[in-house]
Amino acid sequence: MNKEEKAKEKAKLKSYRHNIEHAYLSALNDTIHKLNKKKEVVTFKHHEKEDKRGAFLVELKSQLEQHTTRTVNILGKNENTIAFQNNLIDAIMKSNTKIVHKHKHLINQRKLIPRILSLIESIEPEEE
Amino acid sequence: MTEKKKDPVSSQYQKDVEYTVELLQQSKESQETKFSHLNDAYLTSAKKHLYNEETGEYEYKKLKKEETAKAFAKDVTQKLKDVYQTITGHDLKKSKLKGFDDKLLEAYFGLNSKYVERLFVDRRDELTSGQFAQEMLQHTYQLKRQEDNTAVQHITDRKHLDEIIKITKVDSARINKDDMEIDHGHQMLKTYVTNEQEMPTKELEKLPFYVPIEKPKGKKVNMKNNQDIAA
Repeated sequence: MNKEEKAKEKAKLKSYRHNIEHAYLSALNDTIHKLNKKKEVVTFKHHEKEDKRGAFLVELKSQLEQHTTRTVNILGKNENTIAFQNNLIDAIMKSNTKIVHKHKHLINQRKLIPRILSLIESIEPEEE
Repeated sequence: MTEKKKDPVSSQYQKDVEYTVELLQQSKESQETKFSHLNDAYLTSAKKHLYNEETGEYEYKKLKKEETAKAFAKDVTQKLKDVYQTITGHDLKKSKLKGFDDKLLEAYFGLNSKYVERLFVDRRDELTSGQFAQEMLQHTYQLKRQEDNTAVQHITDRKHLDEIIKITKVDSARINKDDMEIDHGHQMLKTYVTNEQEMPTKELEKLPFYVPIEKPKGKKVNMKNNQDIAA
């Protein structure tokens, strides 16, 4: 791969990461609005109950899958990129699950977002 | 049977503390709500200005153009105004005072249309959804801190401290009240509300007036060491 192609790949990956961040934030936003009865008030109070935390995670995963249906196209859809995206979604959900169960009712967007964004930034695709 | 009358003065201190807890609780919830609406405003505007229907990609490079950045910012502000109207029930269009809607936006979200426009014009394509979210998390946290400090402002008397100890259900044996300052009372209330109206021991231990539980005396005798010392 020459210099120009490498720069193009790098730009693609950067755009891909930004789109995954966007997908995560959209998924979180949709999940919160879906699970909070009043759309105008957002609270994580109910997370003290384990079943509520479970419902939050299930909804988040479903939203994340919906928001990432097309992001893989940015990298060029093939076996490797699909596997990379699946691993990334798994890692995002694993980290969310850990944070949500650890902090219970103390969970908030301040705890979730920065950690997930740095996770998205840190995971590299496997070299072909 | 005679009913025990409440001292009106101490009852006022109790009311002050209860009201402060209520304000701190509101401030906590409003931080989550405000951030969520700010994030939502960005995502909605991005769908309109950055999304490429054909590829399914959000193209941040579109924000490099000043006119796109300005249009993006305008839509973010409009969305925030709509949310403000829904939350408060105030019809912003009814006001005849120029810029009044902006003032209300500033009072609630801590930002106005000029601020939002500057943010997007200055940062352009660097202001991705992730970057915007990080900035707004910081912004709403600062707002919360200001609101919290305002909420505790009327806790000014040492008599309030007794009520704070009562409401936080802290074991009075674990604290030295004479070492307590008014600021400590503020801190206790903030911690209590942050922790869903509980005062965790590990938080209490950090405070300078905390009296630690004495560990039972009498150490285990290590025979080997004793022999060494004797030798």
